[in-house]
Order: sequence, then C-alpha cells, then structure tokens
Amino acid sequence: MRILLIEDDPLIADFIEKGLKEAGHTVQAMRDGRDGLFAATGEEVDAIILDRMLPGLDGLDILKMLRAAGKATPVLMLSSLGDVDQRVEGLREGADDYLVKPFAFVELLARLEGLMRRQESAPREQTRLAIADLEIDLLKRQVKRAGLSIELQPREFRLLEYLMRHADQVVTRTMLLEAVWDYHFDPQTNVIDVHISRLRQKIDRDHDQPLLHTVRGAGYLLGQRD
Amino acid sequence: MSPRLRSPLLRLALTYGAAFLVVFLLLGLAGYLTLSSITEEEMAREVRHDLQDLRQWQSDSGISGLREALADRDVPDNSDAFYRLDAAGTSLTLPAGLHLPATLGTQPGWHNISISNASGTHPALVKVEHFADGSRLVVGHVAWERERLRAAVARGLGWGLLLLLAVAVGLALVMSRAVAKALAGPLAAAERMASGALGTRVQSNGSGDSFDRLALALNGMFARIQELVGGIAHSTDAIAHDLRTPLTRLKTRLEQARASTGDGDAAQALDAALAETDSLLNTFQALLRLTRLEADTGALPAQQLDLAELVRDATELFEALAESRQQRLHVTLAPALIRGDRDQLFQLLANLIDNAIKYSPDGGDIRVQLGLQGDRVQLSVSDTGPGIPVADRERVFDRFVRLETHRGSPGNGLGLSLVRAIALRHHASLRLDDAHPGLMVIVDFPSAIPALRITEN
Repeated sequence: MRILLIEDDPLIADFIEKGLKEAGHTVQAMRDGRDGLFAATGEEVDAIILDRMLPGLDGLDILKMLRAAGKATPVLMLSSLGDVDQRVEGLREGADDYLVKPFAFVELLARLEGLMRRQESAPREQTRLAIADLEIDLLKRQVKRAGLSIELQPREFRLLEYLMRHADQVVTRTMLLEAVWDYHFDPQTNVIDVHISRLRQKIDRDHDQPLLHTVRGAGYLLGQRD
Repeated sequence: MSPRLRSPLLRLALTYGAAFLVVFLLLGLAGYLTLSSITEEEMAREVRHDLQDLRQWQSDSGISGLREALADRDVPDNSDAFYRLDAAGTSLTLPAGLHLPATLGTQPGWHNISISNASGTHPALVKVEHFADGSRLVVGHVAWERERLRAAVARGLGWGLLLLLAVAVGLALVMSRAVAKALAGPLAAAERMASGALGTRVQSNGSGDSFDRLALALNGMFARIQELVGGIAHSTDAIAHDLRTPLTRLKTRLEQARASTGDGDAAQALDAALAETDSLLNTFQALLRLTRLEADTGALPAQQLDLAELVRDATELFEALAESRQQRLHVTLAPALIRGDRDQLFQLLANLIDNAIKYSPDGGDIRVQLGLQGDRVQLSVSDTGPGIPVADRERVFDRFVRLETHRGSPGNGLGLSLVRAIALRHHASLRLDDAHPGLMVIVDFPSAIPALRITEN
C-alpha cells in the first residue's frame, strides 16, 4: 500500500515511517502542510495519515480542501487534542478515522489497514465468515468450530463478528468500544477484557489451537499465530 | 401579594407618595390650626368688646339700664352674638329661641359651650360676668366661622388627598413600569449569558444615564467572561500540546526500544515503563477532558435521548466484570427522556458503575435505578462497599482526592470529578447518601418532557 504521511514532528514521523515500511507499505513523508496538500491532490495514494496540528496549514483545512477537490482517498487523522468534540469535528469534515497521540503503533497499523480494507471490498454482503475451523453464519446467527455449535449471547456474537471482519489484525479496546458498543468513552478498568475472556472461553477452550489472542500493550487479535 | 406589589420600585414610589401625603396632611393641619386660632381670636375680641360696652351700661345705669339696653338691641335668630342676663330673679335671652346650657353662668370667665337654636346645635364662645349685686351676664359668639372653616378644610383636605393618592399611585405605576422596562434588557441578557451564550451583549441607548451605564458595565463584564472562558479552553489546549508532545515522544521511544529488545529483564523493564507511561497519559487525558468539560458553557444538544437505553448498555457492558467478582447487578429502569450528550452520559454511568464494582466486596450487590420523579429523572447507583463518611462527601468530587482507605486501588482520583462535571453540564444535581450499607450516588436530571404533574398522596 502506498501511504502519504503528513506529520511535522520528526520523531513521530520517523517512527511511523519506519513501522509502516516494516509492515510492507510504501511511505511518502511530508513535513509541511502545503507540501502535503500538494502531494495529496497530485498523486495517487491508497491512504493518507494527516496530522491536525501542522505549520503553515491546519490539518483540518487540508482535509476540507482535499474533499472539496473531490479526492475520496481514505484519511486517518492524528491529533494531540483528544477531546471528543475535536474527534467528531474531524470525522464530520471527512476524515475516515481519528487517532489521538500518543498511540501504540499497532493501533495505527490496525486502523490504517481497517481503512484500506473498507475501501477495497464490500464485505457487508458476506453472510459467512471463517478463520481456521471457526465459522460464523451472519444470517442464521450461528457459530461453529470444528463442526461443533457454540452458544453465544447477542453481544458476544457482535464481538466475534467484528473480530472476524478484522481477522489477523490487531483490534484495540477503543476500536471495540466504538464498533461493538457504539460509545466513545474512557473506561477506568479493563472492562472489555472480561468480555474477551468469556468469548475466548467459549471458542478456544475445547480446541487445541487458540485463535483469540491478547496483544500486549495494544489489544486483541483473532487469527492463527505462527 | 401580586408580583407587581412586591416590586421594590413600586414600594419606593408608594413610600414617596405616602411621605407627601403625610406632609400634605401636616400642612393642612397646621393651616387649619392657625386659621382656627385666628378666628377664635376674632370671636374673643368681639365678645370682649361687647362685654365692655355692656359693662359700661351697667356702671352708668345699673342693672336695669343694662337690661333696657339689651332689650333694645336687634338680635336676629341667626345672629352671631347672643346674650343672657339673669338679674332680680328674671332671665333675658337674646335671641329669644336660643337654648343655653343650664349650668351656664355659675362660673365666671371664658367658656366653650354648645348652644342650640332652630338651625341646630352649634359651638360657641362665651364670657360670664358676675356683678356685685349677684346678677350674671353672659355674652357669647356662635362659632359659625369655626364650623365653616372646619367644613372647608375637611373638604379641601379630602379632595386634595384623593388627588394626591391618584397622582401618587399613577406615578408609582408609571415609574415602576418604566424602570422595569429599562431593566428588562440587562436582565434578559444576564440570563442568556448565564445559560452559556457568551456572545450576548446589552443594547445601549446612548443616553449616558444610569441604566445606560449599567448596560455598558455589563457588556464589559460579559466580554471579560467570554475572554476568560475562551482563555481556559485555549490554555488547556496549549497545555495539551506542550505536555503531550514530550509524553508522546517518551512513549514512542519506549516503544521503539521495546521493539528491538527481545525478551528478558530489559524487556520486562520496558514493559513496566510503558505501562506507567500509559497510566500517566490516561490521567493526563482525563484531566484535560475534565477541564474542558468544566469550561464548556455551550448549550446542550437539542436532541433527546432515553437514559434507560444508556443504562441498559452500561450495565450490560459491566455485567461481565461484576460476574467475575461474583457480584450481582440489580437494575430497575423506566423510560427517561433527557437532553444531553450520549458519550458524556455514558462516561458518567461507566464511572459510577465501575466505582460501585470496585468498592463492593466480592459477592456484593450493585443497584442501578432509574425513575421519574415529577419533572425530574432520577438515577441512583449504590454499592455494598465501605461507603463514604459524611465529612468526606463534598471533597471526594475534587480532583485527585482518594480516601485513605482506598489508596493503592486502581484509579486516578478523577472519576468522580468527571461525574460531577458531566452532571453540572447537564443541569443535573448530584449527591451522596448512605445505602445501608455502602454508598448511594444520586443524580437528578431535568426531564426533557414538559412535566406531567403526577400528584402523590
């Protein structure tokens, strides 16, 4: 994937650039808002990572201008100002996702890949999702592993569905809260962990290969770890 | 008392009116007394004069001469002057139909008496003279003037009073209305300002009078408030940027170091350092959020939401956690429409339920109740933990306050501060109570539906 990064802080920019390259993406890094806008409107990229506070031009203004120019490239916005209003504003102006600094790199990667996935296919039409021997039937609301039926409560089902749609990707607690519970708040304790443990009990307990993993410092991953 | 009458302006105007009334009455009284004494003087002089004349007759021609002189006088029925002579066993009264008090004449000197004739009873002034031979003469003057004066003054005062009252009340109403009108603008602006419209300003009519100066002073104050509140938001944003950058870099560097350190002691140390950094960042973010919330005086979203739905979601989210500690979550719901921010309200619920779970012992009970009380929506969350002593119930809402008994437990001391800020933002009241055992937190919201007044017996 070709990614355009518009971020003025050198340390953070290097950090992101290096991480993305290691993950196999091509990165073009701009340090200035105006250069970034130029690059965004001129060239074809798969995704843009845009910092909100930039010298020269406000990230939000760049976003507005980009959208006004008809560019539908997915944009992940970064910001130091973590207030909910800011986030809502960013999303309303056309950002596809919003991440607050500092973040764990895995979260950036997870959200970025989530963005690009959204672009490439229309997964909503799928009625069946599967990974390894775990199957989920969205129409019948049934879950099976190795042919054995698993009873899930409605919330657990939604949780598993989200994890499967992001199979082999890291999913953070914030992402889960937003997508599965539809709220944006800061939990004081790891209330999500308990839900994940319960789900893990149900899908991994009687089987050899664990599929639901906890990624230290980041979140969770549903997939076959090698 | 109607609100109108309660108005201090009206009271002031009426006080003025009353004061004028009193002065008017006093002046009237003073005038009356002065005039009265003058007429009294006049009467007395006439009586004295007359008496002198008659005395002369007596000294010249004796009692019989006096008698003759009197009889010759023409004293009509409506005469001002009247006489009585008691001499040698006979009595002569002029005018003839006059009735004088029976005891009159026994005491010499001046007397104020009442006489009656065909036209009624009247006051009169008399002088009684005793002569050497025992005969007595009464010379009197009917106090027509006094009566007329009294009547005239009474009439004058009466009409004057009515007029004064009418003018006073009329002026009072006009004045109070004018002042109320002049104050209406500033009052409305102040209310709007307090509700969060920081751009409100009062219209100045350019007259430079006291009310105008008030308007200008208020505008100055509003501008300063707007500046300060704006300043808070800007300064917290500035702090955010200033402090978050080094914190972000700290985390970034630690992450980089961790990525290139396999497993072992160094890795563990870095993991620990990263955990501490995350904790630091969480507290920092919560603090920023809190400050911003407290400074936010904008209007609430117009959209209504059902608090019951949020409570359902929150309890469902935390149920797993409660179960893992063998705690039971009891929920009572009722449809409860309020105006507010969905995410903020969920945060409030999450913090309260989270606290309840944290401080209740394993196997304890947590109760979440939502109900309607008239035009208020009441939410209560109670636990079976150690509760909070009454002395601490105010300060637990302050930043970073952790009670001695809870030190060491997870949390940054901002949970309840955030709850309070969100409650205030939503015009809700917040209080702590004893749950016997444990703590009960009660949040009281204004309902979004105009009140259906349910009267309870």
